[in-house]
Amino acid sequence: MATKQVVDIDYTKYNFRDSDESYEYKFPKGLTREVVERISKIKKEPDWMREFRLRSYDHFLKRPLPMWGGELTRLKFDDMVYYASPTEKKSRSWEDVPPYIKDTFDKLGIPEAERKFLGGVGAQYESEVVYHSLREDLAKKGVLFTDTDTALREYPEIFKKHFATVVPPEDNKFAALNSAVWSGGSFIYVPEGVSVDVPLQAYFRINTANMGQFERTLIIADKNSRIHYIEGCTAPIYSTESLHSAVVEIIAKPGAHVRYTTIQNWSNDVYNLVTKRAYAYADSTVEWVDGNLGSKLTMKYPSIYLLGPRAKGEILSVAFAGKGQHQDAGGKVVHMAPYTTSRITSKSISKAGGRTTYRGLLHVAKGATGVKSTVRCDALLMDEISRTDTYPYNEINADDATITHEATVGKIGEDQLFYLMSRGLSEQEALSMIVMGFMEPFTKELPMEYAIELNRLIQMEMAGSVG
Amino acid sequence: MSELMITQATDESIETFSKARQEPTWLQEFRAKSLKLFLELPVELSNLYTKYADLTGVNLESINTVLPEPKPLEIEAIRNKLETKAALTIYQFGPKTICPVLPEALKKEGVIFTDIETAIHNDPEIFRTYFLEKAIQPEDDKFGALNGALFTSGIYLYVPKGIEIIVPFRHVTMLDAEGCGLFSQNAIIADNRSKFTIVEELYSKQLTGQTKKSMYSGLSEVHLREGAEVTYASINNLASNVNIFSNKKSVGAKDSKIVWSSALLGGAYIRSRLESVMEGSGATSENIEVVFGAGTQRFDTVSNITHIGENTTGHAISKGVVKDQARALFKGMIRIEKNAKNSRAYLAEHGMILGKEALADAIPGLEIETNEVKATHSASVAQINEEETFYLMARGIPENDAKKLIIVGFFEPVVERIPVPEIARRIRRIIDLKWTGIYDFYASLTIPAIDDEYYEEGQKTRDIFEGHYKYR
Repeated sequence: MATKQVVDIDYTKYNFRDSDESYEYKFPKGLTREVVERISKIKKEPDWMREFRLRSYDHFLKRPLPMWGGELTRLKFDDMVYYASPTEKKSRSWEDVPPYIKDTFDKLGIPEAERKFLGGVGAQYESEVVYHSLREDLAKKGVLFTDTDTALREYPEIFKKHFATVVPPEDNKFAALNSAVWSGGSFIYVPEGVSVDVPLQAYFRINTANMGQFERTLIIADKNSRIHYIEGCTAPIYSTESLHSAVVEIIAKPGAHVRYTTIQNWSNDVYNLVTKRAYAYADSTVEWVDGNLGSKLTMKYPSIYLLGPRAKGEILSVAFAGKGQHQDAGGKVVHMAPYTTSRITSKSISKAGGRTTYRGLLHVAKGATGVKSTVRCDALLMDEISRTDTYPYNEINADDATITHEATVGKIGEDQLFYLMSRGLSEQEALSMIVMGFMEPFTKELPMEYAIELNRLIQMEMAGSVG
Repeated sequence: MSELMITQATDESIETFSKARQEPTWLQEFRAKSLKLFLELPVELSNLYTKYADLTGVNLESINTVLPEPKPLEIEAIRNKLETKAALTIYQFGPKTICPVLPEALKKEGVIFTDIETAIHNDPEIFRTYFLEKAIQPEDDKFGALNGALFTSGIYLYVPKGIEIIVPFRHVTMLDAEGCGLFSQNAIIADNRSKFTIVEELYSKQLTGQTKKSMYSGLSEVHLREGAEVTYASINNLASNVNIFSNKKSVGAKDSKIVWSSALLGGAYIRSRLESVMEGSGATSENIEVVFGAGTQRFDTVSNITHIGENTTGHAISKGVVKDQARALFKGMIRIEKNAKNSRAYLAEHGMILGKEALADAIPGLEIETNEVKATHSASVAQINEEETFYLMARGIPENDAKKLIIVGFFEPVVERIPVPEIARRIRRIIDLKWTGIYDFYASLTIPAIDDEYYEEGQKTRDIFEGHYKYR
């Protein structure tokens, strides 16, 4: 056995931060009615949005913290800044992007990844989308891809018709918080019959200590359209807790195909409490591909409401919990229509005292005949101090549904290790290889560059786990 | 004492009740504490399941805790029908308990098999510690606490070191009442390396037609010392007016083995809590549970397995069939604690929904705190397999009989584990009758000869878990 070496992922190289002075509209800490009104005023929003924000704020105050899931009592809502805007004016081309922001992106290695295969780019820095370019042909096809604030201004009709219809502020406390102070996020509208061949992508970053980020994403895929949206996150380390509380809404109209891929790699002090939900109408397909690697606590359950006949939902979720981390993730599928099908696959790895939880719901409503669903969740425990829990809720109200659920928890097999090592791999390499193989169903769904990034990250995380 | 309604239960009335029964002070205190907790505790303690806690229609207010005396002639008639030489039986007819005369051989070895009231009177000191260290404490569950406050019957079984008894112990309860409740508490202690079987049967002779709700509250604890092996089989076919609250728990020491197999068939609202705790290394437990719901029955079942010791093995399987408007909720949790290295666990919840308005929910949970383990769980909801029906029909069996056979077969993993062939046959018969829609106690006593052709005796040791592909 190799000597035990403890090498944790080196976050210090990401530990860069810019001076705070350049922020315009720096807000005081804490959330009040005035803060909400001021956000709305700065953004020059219509009255209905201001009222919506205030209504959400009222609900946020009323709603108690969830009693289940992770440890939320250490969240100090009064210690956070709820709005920050680095530049007032939106940048249209790369040249206009402020140099210090470019510098940060450079350190993250983002531009290379973007330039290679991205069509439209909406990269989020702080709470405003600062860099935005849309490939010509996309615009020609009538695809709208902008930040959500712009969408509210420029496409008010389509925006108002769909906004908050999937996740109303009353849904949960954090959806209410997001609805009250949301800023930024992506807005995508794909017209009928249009197929977007390249994945659309946005990078998010948190940059101020104690600053929450509340982006709001709305994707509307009209009839028979196709869209793949990718979202990835990295964040520098800060000593006090940050909060990321996004809301993502997807509407897949009849025959549409939407895939939403996330790799979340917040630093280990971020609370990541996200509400993601999709409505899938007849014959449409919605796929959530969700990777949770960083953060202190993640509570995220992408959900799909299958509202039309033959709609299809797929959730693929991967969680990796290291020291001090709790990944409370899973997926929810609600079958509301006949002949709908769904599949949930969850893979989780806990190491160095980390905790992963799978929390899932599978609901088959009355009258939803011919439903088929498979849920599979596997957990891997790397050592004896880590923990994994599985709480799958299966609610079946139809008499001809076919539902299966399976879960396994295990450790890395000695014989697998031995086999690889007998072929000349070191224990370290063998371990990484097994873990990567365990994650394979997830990584193979990712675009190449993400998959490489993820595999590299796993190798880094696995370093020092021998012993 | 003539009447004590649950709602009228107060510290004073519990004291009077306990004094009238000439109980020791510690028991009186235990009852008072239990009552207090019953009133304070929420219906569901775990925030994982609060969403599902629903007692609508379960009316506890009108329940009188004192049961009417049964008629002696009736007792004789039913006893004659249920008596078998293959088991030692304690009968419970409403408030009346009839204990068997133990064979000399068992008495000589120190086996105790009696009703719990007598047992407490005979040996109050032992029971004082027993109640202090109970496996199911009043704090654990609202209805467990209610049972602690009001229990008046139940059995006590003690099997000393090294004694292996092949003849099963049997506890038959007949409950026919309207607006009354029966509160029964069982204490079973298996000393080192003892081995025995206990069969619990709950019947009503009139299964339908009552107008007022009754209540059955049963609490059973099995304490297994080193190397002890206990099989606890239970069948519940109470009348459709009875709300059932059942708490069962075992605590196993080193190398002990418990097998719970439980068939839940009768009742209106059925709340069942089954827990196996393995404290000692090398312990094994199996929770096997079947539910057959019809009409407007509502089942709320929990099957938990807790691994505390090393090298422990736990299996839990719950299977349910729901037809008509019946609803079944299966909750289960495998907990593997920090020190339970090399544990193996398997939890399965399988449902069959046979009606447009029937409903089944399954929540098979896992909480794993160490890595040297193998834990799997699975859940499924499906219908009667058409291919299986076709196969049977192709062999000349009419469709309805074919389906019935498939349903009876669905329950077979539990039924075949019941060590008394007569009782196993009776369960198959009850399932058969329930499928046909006949609710008749006496009909369940007559077993048509043809049934025996279907079931081959003597192959009941087939392992339902080892065949699972995950244990290749």
